[in-house]
Order: sequence, then C-alpha cells, then structure tokens
Amino acid sequence: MLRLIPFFSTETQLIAALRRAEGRAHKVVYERYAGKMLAVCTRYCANRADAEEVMIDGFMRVFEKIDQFREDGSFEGWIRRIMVTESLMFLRKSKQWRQELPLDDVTVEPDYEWADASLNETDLLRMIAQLPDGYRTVFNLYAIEGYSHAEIADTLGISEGTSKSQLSRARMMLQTLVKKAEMGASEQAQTRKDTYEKTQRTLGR
Amino acid sequence: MKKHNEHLADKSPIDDLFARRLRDTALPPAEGGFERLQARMNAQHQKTPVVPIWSNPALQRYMAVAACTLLVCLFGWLYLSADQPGTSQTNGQVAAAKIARKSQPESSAPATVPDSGIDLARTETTTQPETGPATADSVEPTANKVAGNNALPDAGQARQLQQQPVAMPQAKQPVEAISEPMVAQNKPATTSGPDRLETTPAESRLATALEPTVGPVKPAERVLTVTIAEPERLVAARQVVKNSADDIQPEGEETPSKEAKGGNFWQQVRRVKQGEIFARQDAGTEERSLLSRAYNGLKHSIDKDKPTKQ
Repeated sequence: MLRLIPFFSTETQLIAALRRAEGRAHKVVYERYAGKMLAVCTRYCANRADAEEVMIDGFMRVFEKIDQFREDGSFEGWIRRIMVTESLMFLRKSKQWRQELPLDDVTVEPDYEWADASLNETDLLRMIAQLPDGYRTVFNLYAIEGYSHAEIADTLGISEGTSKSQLSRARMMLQTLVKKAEMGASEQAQTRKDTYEKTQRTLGR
Repeated sequence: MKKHNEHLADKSPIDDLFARRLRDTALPPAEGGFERLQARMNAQHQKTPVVPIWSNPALQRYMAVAACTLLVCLFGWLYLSADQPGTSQTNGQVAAAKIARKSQPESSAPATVPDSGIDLARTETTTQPETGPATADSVEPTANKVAGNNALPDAGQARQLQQQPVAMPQAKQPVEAISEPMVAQNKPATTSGPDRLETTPAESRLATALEPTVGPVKPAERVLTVTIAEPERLVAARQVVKNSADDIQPEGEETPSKEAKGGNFWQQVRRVKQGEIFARQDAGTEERSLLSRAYNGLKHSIDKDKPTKQ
C-alpha cells in the first residue's frame, strides 16, 4: 500500500523550501493561500480580473522577498500584508482614488437598527465593490485589517480627518446597501409567502 | 492598549459584520493561475539575463583600445629588447662620461704654487679601462683633467706618462727652479718612494664614481699625465709679476684671502698689459671653447693683416 508523505508538513519547512526557490514549494504556497489572497485583493480592487492580476503579482513578490520574512509573526499575515500593499499600489497606479472630504460634511450618523443574518459573503463583497475606491480602501484597512486612522493616513498619504470622513461615508453607503439588500430579501420573502398562501387557498376550494 | 480600546469602541456593527464575514473568506482562483504565475516569473528572469563582460557592447570599445595598446607596447618592447645589448653598453659609457664630466671642474682646477698663486702646470690625466692584453700599451687621451700632482691608487698595473719639468715632483720648491723643459717620457707608476705623487680627493672621488658604473672594468687603469713645460719668458714674467705683487701688497689694505680670490684674473690682466704671451687655460675641450678659440684666432689674424693691407 502506498504511503503518502506530506510535503512541507510544517510552515518552517515550507519557508525553507521557498528560500531554496523550489518550484514545488511555490505551488504549495499558491494552492494554500490563493483563495484567501484573492478575496483580499477583490475587496480592494473591486474587479475580479484585476484582483487576480494583483494576486499573482503579490505571489511573485512573496517569492522574491522570502528572505526578508522573519518568523516572528504568521506567514499568512505576512503574505496578506504583501497583498494589501500590492493592491494599494495597483490602485495608486491605475486611478486617482484619493477623495478628500472635509469632516464637516459627515453629519449623518449611520443607523445601526438593522439585522444581517441573511446576507452571504458574496453579497457583502458585491456591496464593498460598489463603494468608491477611497471609501473602500479606508473601510477595508480600518474595519477588516484593523489599521488605525494614523496608520491609514500614513500609508495612503492623507490626513487622519480624511480617513475618518471616508470611513463614515463608507459606513453610510454600506448601511444603505445592506438595508436595500434586506428589503429586497424581505420583499422576496413576502412575495413568496403571498404566492404560497394563494396557492393554498386555490387548493382548499 | 488605549488606542486598541478606542479602535474597538469606535467599531460599528457594520464594521463587525464585514470583518467577521470577510476576514477569512476565500474565493476560488481561476484555473491556470499558477501557470500564469510561473510564466510571469520566467519572463521576469529572462528580462534580466546575466550578460558576460566580453559581450557587453559598452565595454567592447574599451577592450579593443586596451588590446591595441597592449600590442603596441609588446612590439615596442620586443624591438627595444633586440637593440638592448648595444644600448646598455652605450648607456654605461654615457654614464661614465657624465660622471667624468661632473668631476671635471673640480679636478681641472689649475694647480698653483702655494706662495705665488701662479699656474704651475696643466696636466691631463686619462683614465681608461684596460680592454685586453692587445691594447695594453695603447694610451688614449681623454677629457679628464686632474690637478698637477696626480697618482693612481693602483699604480702597480698602471703606467704613467709624464712630461714634466725637472722640479715638478717637488711642488713646494720655488718657481725659479722650474725652468728646464722636459720631454714627455713613459714611467711606471711607483707605489712608494719620494717620487710617488699623492692622490687628490677629486681623483679619489672620480675613481670611486667610475667603479660601479663601468661594470666590467678591470682593476688595472692607465694614467696619462702630461705636463707641458713652460717657456723661459713666461717663467720670468711670472717672477716679475710676483715681485710686483709683493711690492703692492704692503701698500694696499687687501687681505691675502681677497687677493687669492681675484689674484689670477688681475695677474693675467697685468701680464696682458705688459705684452707678455698669455697662455689661455681652457677648462675643457668643449665645443664652445674651441669655437671661441677659433673665432679669436681668426679675429687676431685679421687684425694683424689690417695694417699690412692698409
């Protein structure tokens, strides 16, 4: 009976193989992290094709800079940071995504009286993709990656006030989108319910 | 910590919803993604190929120039090395001649009688390496001039040709004693005895300077010492000049050192004024002095012929 020997059972072995530039290790890393990194790139780039290009560039950078990886943190977190950086570089190159908004314009506070439950990941990604680039970037960095406004301002080269205003705008837009999605879902459910009742009545006669 | 708490407190339910749902979300990548990645990596590696230095067009010009220079230097070296034996010998001779020329002004200082300061004799000393037994007897004159009383350090193998007056060996005798001209004769140099001449410092320097440069020079050296006998009239004139100088000295306030400095010149001037025959003392056989002598001779002959023509 054949016994399957797992390649790179530990992350250390995998990193060592990457440092030796083994093609097998490249493939293992790609297959292990490509899905997650594609989701990260899709959150920033809003376009699937661009996201895939950015992801491939990010993996190339990972393989090139593997010697700079210090095993202090997780390897996945390091790859994720590289993907985020690549996505920001892509946005910077492709578009003028900085949108300066004064903080005074943000007067509407988001309404938190909503319920999510029925929304799946694809819906959420589609909502984020509908945001403008600046809003989307700040929201991703602040809400999902956990950056502070100071770090975002430093990374993007904007002021902290701009970062805060763009975050508030992004929240408002997302709230609206979520509400719409919920309303649409409830309308569909109501429509389905009405249809079902009509059917039952017809059958009862 | 405070910043982190603020960050958590500032988080809205929307942030929490999206963070919770999308943080670990994975999307299926397109098929053939890894092949594209590999192809792009290979393309990147091919973009920056390692160019060997000899195929770098920027360096090829410099390499060509360096090769040409190297070839020229090589041929030049080969050509010079073919002529090297002759040149090296010539160089050695040139160096010896230079050293001899340097030592010439010192050694060619006119010998004077200590008391009178008058030129006693002109002596020409020749040093030449012995080339072989066939030329052992031949002695050639050279430009080296050494002061009156000369002798070679290695006198056993050297021959000394002297043409000197009777009183020459005794340099401290008065001038009157040097009156009889002598014919030049060949004498072997003696290492001891009363007739042995003392070696002057200039000659010893010359001998030490010549030894390392000449190279294959044999230790045996030949010396030609020629002493020209002075005519009786000149000796008498010198005596007169000496007497007059003795008469003038107590009257003037000049010190003997000053007189010694300019004595030769003024004595010669007086002798010229008195119409005596003045034997010019040439420092060497340089072309300039010979030309000037020829020019003066011509001028003198023309001046002589003028009155007869008139």
